This record gives sequence, C-alpha cells and structure tokens, in this order.
Amino acid sequence: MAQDGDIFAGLPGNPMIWILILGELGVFAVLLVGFSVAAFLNPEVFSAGQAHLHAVLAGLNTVVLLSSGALVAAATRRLSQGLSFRAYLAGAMALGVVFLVIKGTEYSAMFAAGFGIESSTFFQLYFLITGFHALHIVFGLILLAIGAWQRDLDTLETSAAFWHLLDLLWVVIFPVVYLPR
Amino acid sequence: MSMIAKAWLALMALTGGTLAVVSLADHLPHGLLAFTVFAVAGVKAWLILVYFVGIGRDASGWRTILVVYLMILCGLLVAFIALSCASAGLCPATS
Repeated sequence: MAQDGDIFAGLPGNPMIWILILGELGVFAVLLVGFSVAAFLNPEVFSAGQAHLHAVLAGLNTVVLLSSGALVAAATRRLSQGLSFRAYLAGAMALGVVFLVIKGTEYSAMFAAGFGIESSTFFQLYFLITGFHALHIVFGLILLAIGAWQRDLDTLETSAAFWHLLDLLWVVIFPVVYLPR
Repeated sequence: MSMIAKAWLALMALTGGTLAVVSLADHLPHGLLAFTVFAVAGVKAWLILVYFVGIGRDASGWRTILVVYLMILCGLLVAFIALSCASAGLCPATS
C-alpha cells in the first residue's frame, strides 16, 4: 500500500494502521513507565499486590498469544503465495479467544479473592494495563475476522500488523506486571 | 522448517527460560533478575518485529526506530525496578 517516497514504505499493510500502532506504542510506554514509577513510590504496596497475581496463567497466556501471532504470520505468508490461509487464521483467532478466557479466569480469581480496581494503586494499574490490552485483543480479533473475510493481502497485512503489536506489547507487559518485586 | 516456525520455537524457549528465571527470584540478585528478564523480553520483541511483522531490510529505518524504542522502554523499566527494590531494601546490595 505504501508508495515510493512514503515514510511508511517497507512497512506491511495500510499506512493508517501504522499511525495507530505508533500511537499505541506511545500510550503503552506511558502506562508501563507510569506503573514502574508508581512501584518506585509504593514498593511495599506493589510487592504485596504482585504476590497475589497468577504468573503461571500469565505465562500460559504468553505462549497462547505468541502461538496465535505465529499462525497469523503463517496465514499472511500463505495468502501472499496464493495458498489457502483461513484455517491458520481461524486457529489464530481461536487462540485469541483462549487468551481472553484465561484473562477472564485470572480476573475472576482476583475478584473472588476480594481484590478489585479500588483495592490499591497496584490493582488500579494492573486492571487498567491488562484490561486495556485485552480490549485491544477484542479489536484485533475483529480486524482478523475482516482479514479472513476479504481475502485481500493488504487487508490481512494490516490486520496482522495490529495483532503482532499486541504480541509485542504483551511480552513487555508480562515482566512489568508479573515479575516479582 | 520456515523462519516463522523457527522464530516461534525461539519465542517458546525464551518464554520458558523467563519463567524458569523468575521461579529462582528468591535466589538471584533482583537487579540481575530484572535485567535478564527485560533483555529476554527485548529479544522476543525483536523476533516478533522481524519474523512475524516482517520488517526487513527494506524498512531498516523503521526497524531501527522500533528497536531503539524497545531499548529505551526496557532500560527505563529495569532502572525503575532496580530503584524501587533498592529504596525499599527489598533487594541485596549486590544487586
């Protein structure tokens, strides 16, 4: 889609998605640095809060999301070669749903243990960052569904670029939020 | 085996390695733990950019910008984690 001389030349997909991606990278950088600054100011609160998180579930979600990303990359490659790609994309979307189910399980366990968004600064930021990321997963699933529907390489590359942004953000969110302090 | 499959295997291995290192958190200096985990996260993000997104040599400028973004972000996060545990006395002086 990008033209020669275009500053987005060489990037896959529609240039508009890259404007969104760069904005999202900025927003999540502010959130993650804000989380770390708050942890610096309230180390005991954050250390206590992190002790209640389910790092194993978060690790499992990392495996699920990265596997989904690999399937999206494979689907994009196959479409570019004129091969069938929808089974790969369906697998990727199914794993995206699994990610949300695991996240819901994690939240349910938190609520059942009596922790909510008003419990402490730690839980406010924990729910804000992970919930905001989960909302992006929902949006990404819609984009992938559009990519599967249209069977157009530029559309699928656009959807895939956004989905891989979510992979990339999660591999940074995971140690920030779940690493024991 | 395709490069995507190789990148996926590397990402799985790095994720397993991260979980193994975190499970040893009580036995490692906290600063070293944070540096290791974020260095691994940076490598994982780079693998995603190059092999999943497909940002190659024809977009080397963007690849450089995104790698610099990750280095600055991960560097800031490691610095604040090290500062927070040091200020609270939660990590040994050797960290």
